[in-house]
Amino acid sequence: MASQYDISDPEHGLRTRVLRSIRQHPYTGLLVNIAPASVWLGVFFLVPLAVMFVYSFGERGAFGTVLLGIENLGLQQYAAFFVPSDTGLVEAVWISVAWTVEQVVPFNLELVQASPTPYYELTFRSIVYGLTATVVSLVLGYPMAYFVARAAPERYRNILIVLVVLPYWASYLVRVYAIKLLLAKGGIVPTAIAALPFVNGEPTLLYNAFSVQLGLVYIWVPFMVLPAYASIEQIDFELQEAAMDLGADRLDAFLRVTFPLSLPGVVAGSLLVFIPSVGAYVIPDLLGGPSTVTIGSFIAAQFGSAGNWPLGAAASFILMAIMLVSIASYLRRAGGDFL
Amino acid sequence: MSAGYSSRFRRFRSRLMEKYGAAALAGEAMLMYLFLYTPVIVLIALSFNDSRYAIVWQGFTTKWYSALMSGEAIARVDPNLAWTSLKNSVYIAVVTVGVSTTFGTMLALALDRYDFPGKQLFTGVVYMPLIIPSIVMGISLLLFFNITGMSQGLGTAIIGHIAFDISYVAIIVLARLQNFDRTLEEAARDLGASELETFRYVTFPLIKPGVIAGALLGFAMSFDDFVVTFFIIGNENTLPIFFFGMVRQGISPGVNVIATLILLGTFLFVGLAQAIQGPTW
Repeated sequence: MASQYDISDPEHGLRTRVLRSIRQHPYTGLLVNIAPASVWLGVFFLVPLAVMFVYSFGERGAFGTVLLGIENLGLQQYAAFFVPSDTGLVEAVWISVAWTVEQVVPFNLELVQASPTPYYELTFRSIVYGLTATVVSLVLGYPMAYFVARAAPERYRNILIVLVVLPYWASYLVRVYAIKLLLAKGGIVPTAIAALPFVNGEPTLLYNAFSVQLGLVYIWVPFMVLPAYASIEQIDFELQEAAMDLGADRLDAFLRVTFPLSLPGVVAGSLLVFIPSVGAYVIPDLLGGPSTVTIGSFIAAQFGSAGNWPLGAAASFILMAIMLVSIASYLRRAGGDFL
Repeated sequence: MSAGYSSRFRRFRSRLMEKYGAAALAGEAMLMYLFLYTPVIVLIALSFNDSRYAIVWQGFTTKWYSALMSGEAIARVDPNLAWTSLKNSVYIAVVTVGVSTTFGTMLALALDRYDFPGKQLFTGVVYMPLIIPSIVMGISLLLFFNITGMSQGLGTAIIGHIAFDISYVAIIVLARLQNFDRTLEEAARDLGASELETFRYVTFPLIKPGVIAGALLGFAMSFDDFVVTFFIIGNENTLPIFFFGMVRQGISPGVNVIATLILLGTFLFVGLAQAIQGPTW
């Protein structure tokens, strides 16, 4: 019996050596620690994305089935998304670009008679909502962050920042509902506006573009304030004083010294607001109406009532492409990898 | 001529900023706090409102609370259903946090300690669930469960929640590991501790605050998630899904009460976490 534990036993010695060399190999610890998470993320995150990618090349069959045979695969969903049914590719590009220019310029401009696909229009609308939410959050959130980081008395700073974070822990569905409650017909805000002497009648504030964008700002503005605060707090304000000693006035010193130094926080905050706003589904669904369909609610509808899964899958990848492009261009402009 | 004008303008501008700048900043910040908190406070107040229409103030009452507490439905808001969905939410969140905290912490340790080919790409994949729109994640999981034939319910919801919670935990723990003193581990090994003993008595106590913070964030993310869950839970309910259904049907005193209870419950949870753990943000 004792010989079983004898180290000189050649076979056992070999096994121990192999075991020991496995145990001591630097990659063993790596594999053990990394395996569970990577298997999970691989199977339940990457594989589903790959499945969706394949679906986006499929075709819709009768009764909402999906045809994924070789003869059905193609770019038809992406084409349907961007190219109106009776036009060629080049014409479609021209129509979309011209239509976009018409929307963007402030004066009345008539470049094309035809309109792009409704899908293109709702994608454009989502981007506009995202940009508006980002700009408004920046304009409202930056001064707030600056106040908390610089101007507020030191002993209140912690409680002020906690008050910014606290809503984030509360359920966002509840907060969206709270906005709905304020804006609903007969609610506090419309009633208050109607009570003004020069207004006649209650304004409609809910189920339109205004309520959707207000909801986006309300939910995401803390995400602008926090990174901006973190950046501003770290700035050495002797730099601003130096600029003022050298003849800059307050505004110049802020615009040319302080603000550029806080740019990392501003960029991080802008991405944190823009990304969820473009892909928003709940807010347009609860606060919006038929005229405020965004790409998020469109995707959801394709997998629900509209029942066109391939088109929904293609729209999902278009949404992801928009976000990747915006992240890449934003980070390149800011020139850093601080995320 | 124009130079004189512009310098006068600049002097005026800087006097204006010196005199009113601080007050304007403080005023703006106060308005923002008002903006953030007015809707929530109005919501809580209206849950005590003595009116079926729930919007216009008619007087104080607690009858909606007592009705719901005694199990009576108010305008389609069924307290029994709310109770079941709360239990589902807690069950999903607890299982999710257990698994994802373990896996996420291991992942963070691996990312902190080892270099391997393709590490940057791998880290990118780990960050992806945080960046990707929830609707895309939910729908891709829906397609996946559909073609693998897994029947949807609480189990599939847990699988999806773990998939995004791992990343949250890993990132928080990774941040904690950045200022971790490796020589402490070496000292433990030199004094004869095995790898597991070193982890149990040295590494883990040091990274514990990060692990707890990650678990708390993971819990909040799982408990509060609506979009991913909505697509993969089949016919079951969680609290957010139940609430979404209520809100879609419109405003009612019952919804106000449920919303207030969710809010107060969350704040209580955050307060407790603070008391146990210290600031988690």
